[in-house]
Amino acid sequence: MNISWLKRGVLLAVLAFASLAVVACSDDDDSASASTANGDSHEHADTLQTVKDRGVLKCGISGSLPGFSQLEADGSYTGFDADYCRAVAAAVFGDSSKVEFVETTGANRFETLASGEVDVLIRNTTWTLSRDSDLKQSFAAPTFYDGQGMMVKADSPFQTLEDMDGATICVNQGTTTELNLASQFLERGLTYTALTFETTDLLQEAFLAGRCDGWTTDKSGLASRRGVYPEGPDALRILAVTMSKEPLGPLTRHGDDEWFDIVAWVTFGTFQAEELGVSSANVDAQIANPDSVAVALMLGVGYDGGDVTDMGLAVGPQFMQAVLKQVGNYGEIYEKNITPLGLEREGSLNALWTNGGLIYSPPIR
Amino acid sequence: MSNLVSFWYRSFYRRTIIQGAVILLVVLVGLALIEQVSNIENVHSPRFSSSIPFITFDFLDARAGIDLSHGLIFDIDSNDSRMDAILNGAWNTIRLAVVLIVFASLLGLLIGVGRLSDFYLIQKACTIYVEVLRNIPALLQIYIWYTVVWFITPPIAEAAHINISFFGANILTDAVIVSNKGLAIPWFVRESQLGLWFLLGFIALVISLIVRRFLQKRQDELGGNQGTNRYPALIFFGALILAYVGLGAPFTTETSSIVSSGAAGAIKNYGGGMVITGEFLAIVVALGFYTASFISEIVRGSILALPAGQTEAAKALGLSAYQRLTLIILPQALRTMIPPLGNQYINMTKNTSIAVAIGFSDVVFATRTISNNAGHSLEIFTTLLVLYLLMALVISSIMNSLNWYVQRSGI
Amino acid sequence: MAETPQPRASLLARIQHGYRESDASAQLFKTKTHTVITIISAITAIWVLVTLTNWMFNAEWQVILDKRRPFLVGKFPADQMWRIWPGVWIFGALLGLSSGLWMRPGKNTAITIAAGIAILSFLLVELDSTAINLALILLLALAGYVVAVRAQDSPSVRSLISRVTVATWVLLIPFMIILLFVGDAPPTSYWGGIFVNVMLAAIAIVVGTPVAVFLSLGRSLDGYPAIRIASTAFIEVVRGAPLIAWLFMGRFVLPFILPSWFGMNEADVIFRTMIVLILFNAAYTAEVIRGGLQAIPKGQYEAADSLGLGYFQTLRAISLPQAFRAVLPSLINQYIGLFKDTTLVYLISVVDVLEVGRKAFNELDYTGTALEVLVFVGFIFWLVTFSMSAISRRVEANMGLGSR
Repeated sequence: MNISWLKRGVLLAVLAFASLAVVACSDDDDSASASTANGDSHEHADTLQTVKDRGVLKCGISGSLPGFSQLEADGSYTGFDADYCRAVAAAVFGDSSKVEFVETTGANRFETLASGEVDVLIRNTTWTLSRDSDLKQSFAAPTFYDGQGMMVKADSPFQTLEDMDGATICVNQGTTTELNLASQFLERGLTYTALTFETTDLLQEAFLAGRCDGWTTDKSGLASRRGVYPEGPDALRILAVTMSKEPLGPLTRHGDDEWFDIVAWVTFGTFQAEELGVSSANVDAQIANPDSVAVALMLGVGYDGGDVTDMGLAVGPQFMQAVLKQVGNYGEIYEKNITPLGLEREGSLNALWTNGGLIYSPPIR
Repeated sequence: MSNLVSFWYRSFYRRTIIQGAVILLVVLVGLALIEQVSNIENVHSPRFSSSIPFITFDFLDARAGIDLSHGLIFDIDSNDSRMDAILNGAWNTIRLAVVLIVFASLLGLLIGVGRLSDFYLIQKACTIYVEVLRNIPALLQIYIWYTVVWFITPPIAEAAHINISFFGANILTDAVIVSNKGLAIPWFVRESQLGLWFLLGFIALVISLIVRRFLQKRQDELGGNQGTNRYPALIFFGALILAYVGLGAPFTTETSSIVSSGAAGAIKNYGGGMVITGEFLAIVVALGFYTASFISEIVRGSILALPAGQTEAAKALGLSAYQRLTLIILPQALRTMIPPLGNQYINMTKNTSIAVAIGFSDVVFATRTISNNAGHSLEIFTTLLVLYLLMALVISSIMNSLNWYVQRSGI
Repeated sequence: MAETPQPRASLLARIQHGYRESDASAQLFKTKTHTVITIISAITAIWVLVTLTNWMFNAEWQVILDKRRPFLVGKFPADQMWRIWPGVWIFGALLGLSSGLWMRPGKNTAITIAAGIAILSFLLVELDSTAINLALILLLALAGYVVAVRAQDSPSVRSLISRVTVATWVLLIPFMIILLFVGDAPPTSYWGGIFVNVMLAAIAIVVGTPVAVFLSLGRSLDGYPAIRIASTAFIEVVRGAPLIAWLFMGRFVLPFILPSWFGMNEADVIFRTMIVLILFNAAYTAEVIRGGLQAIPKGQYEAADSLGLGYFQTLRAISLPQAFRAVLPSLINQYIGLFKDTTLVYLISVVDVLEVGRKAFNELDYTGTALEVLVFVGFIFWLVTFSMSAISRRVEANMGLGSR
């Protein structure tokens, strides 16, 4: 090893970096105005076109969270998030199978989305201000209202967080729960040790071995992992405390409003369909003969022989038809994926607003 | 044409033109990159590129919001800044690297000498060790050790307490406590007079060095043995003994114990002493064993490269096998060993980055988490690069000065 | 110097006469100390062996049997396997030809390769039409070996065959790449298992080594400081940070930097990982080659000058062949290291063989089989890297390295 070369290497790296910075700074205003003036648009900007050209939607998911997204033995993915990926694909292509699932971790999901590797990220991700502003992501609509919980072994004496002073807590890297954990324990004046893992698999191994006293993540995630815990669900207990608000939903990159609108309105469409009583079972009948004007608007068909109203969404007025035929409405998606986890919808925030929940769609008209 | 050829062969012009072309190419590529990045800035992903034109490290001053575990010296929490978190991660990396360098060097030396051993089975075992361990990816070995650490260690409630005893009398109770929360060993606790101790020690050192110089001069003039080492050592250690009698010890040792907290005392942690976490242990053992297999090859190669005459002469002097090894062979082999060892140390330091795989909070871990919370991938990546370059620089300067010292003094 | 070794071979004697295994085994019970140490270490060895055997017979190997397909190729569809097989056939034939031409495998190497094929057959035997493929590979390897050995008699045929072999080795990777992408190919996100490790390492070696030659030449170019500084800066910066950092860079920063020509900025993870590994390998290999270039005596260049050879002629005929010959062992070591490092790609969501294993032992049905899976994956790596170094030692010996 030759030091003098290393020294020069460092110097050169610093110089190169500095010059890049200087040139970029001075260049910025010009290029910004120039490209606006020329209408010079980068091909990434039109995500919809990119997706159509590719012929498949790239959707970022977790892949190891039963109920939300889980790789099955036959290589397919099941779950709530996976179904929302299919819904977006159905809206774009009319074919819900045109999805390429990309597994992401808590720590790399935003970079995966930002780098254009996936078109949309549907990975039980919490909507926060800093993710909107710092990370430049746009959240469509919360599809699942959750809160951070704490899971402990069933035979442990813990009932509240105060019982857990000095505990070692297993947590996923790069999640809001990692940040909440720090602030919750700080506020309560409790000490703790965080053991942070990038993958849930390794975290579970650590927990199994008794390396941690508690396991924290969103309550739905805890329920999901509890269901597949090797020692059986009864070996674990989820504390009553809810440590945070965790509205989870799909998100896209800043800067492509047209694509954002598609993802947002597919999501809202599933809410609206449930509210209007349109499901995969009766969608064909409703297309032929819609019950109400609202149903006709949502499905992009004429009401009582009238004309179709195109509200200008880039995937056409009939986008919800394929979504409902091939995937179903919000209630169906929830019933199929989340109910088996033992998370009751009735009385929770995830009930329809007409039932006292928060699932509410702005009008489709 | 011939003019052109002779022009080309006049090396000054040729060099200028070729180098000019290379510089032009580099500049063009650089400009293309900037153009590329500023294009993206407008439309594609503001998240990344907004950080490009306004390269800023301000975000590193913000509150980190996360806690890093495995930290020992800098006790940081979620209220400290992101830069503190990164530095804490870097400190964890350095700590890991230092422990690993010591551990892997000693083990490598043993294995390397073992492969040249007289004893058939030992030599075979060392060969198998090297052939197996260096051919398996380090990451996989870390997983294996981590699994093993969990597999064999009891939960902290049933922690194994190891006492050191001598003919039935306990010398040190709880010398080592082992559980899946880690390994706790006794550690030093500084006393208030530590500063005074340092001062006294320093003064004693200076005086003994002055005395040594004086005696050396005398010896050069008068010849014979004037005790150039004996008397200064006597002064130095004498002063230390006096200080101990007068001031008491500079630090005491404290053994670890298990402390309960939480509901019904169900949460148990180590209190006091030094706690080495299972993650740290798994990485040290795995990477240490892995790197030792490479170091042992360096040791073996350096020993085999020695001229036979050296050992023959040593044998003629009647030195025993052990004396030949420690006095003749190893010191000489050290000369050829140092440069490749330095490379191994740098490689190993970089290899510690795979510790993120089992959640050890090193510098890569800290930068990844912060980049995930705050964006600015490029600035964070540059910080990481500079930190690693600095570490490599420090290791290679130490190894180079060691090399210089060894070559010069010819130990 | 080459006297007959003394029967009692001490460290000294071995240094003097070179190491012989029989020296040590001949004196298991030479003195009392020897006897004691032999007995103690024998007992330890037996204990270790018994423990290991015990564990092996009690371990749950079902997970390996069930998952052999993912271990091999990940999610790669079964009906697309025709894209992979031809490359493996050619690989078998080339292995046979090369060993016949240059190696003449010794007993140990042959055993290793046979063991490798045994493992491979264990893995493959239930896959579609695998028995035929396997037989074909064995047949091709054998045929290649026989042809190469026969050809030894006639120098012209031998040189023809060796040229063809070298050319095919070089073309093998491009051929496989074309086969993997032509037509309606499965996306690279379906790549997985040991196949990914091998492909990534092979491409990084085949493409990275020529880049490394240019870098090392650039770094040792007298009179061209601009080129020298540029090469040096590249090499040292790349070597400055760990591979993990570069892999993250490749996954998350590269898409913004790559130009949009041919949709390069849309390139998927595997492609970007390849770029990172090629450059990473090039920087390290460049340093290895530079060592070889520096070892060439100055007289060689002076001789080339006096013959009137130009720079590139000197390179082709004088310096590069000698440099490569001198650094062959370090070069193979670098490649082995690279192959082992391909396990790190899991960090950027490439599902390599280790990641397949980790996913497998986290499945509900296979809980508690972590050690089995890890040992199995470790064995695969060990087999490949051990064979590589055995081959390199053999080639070294046949090239007469160190005895010129």
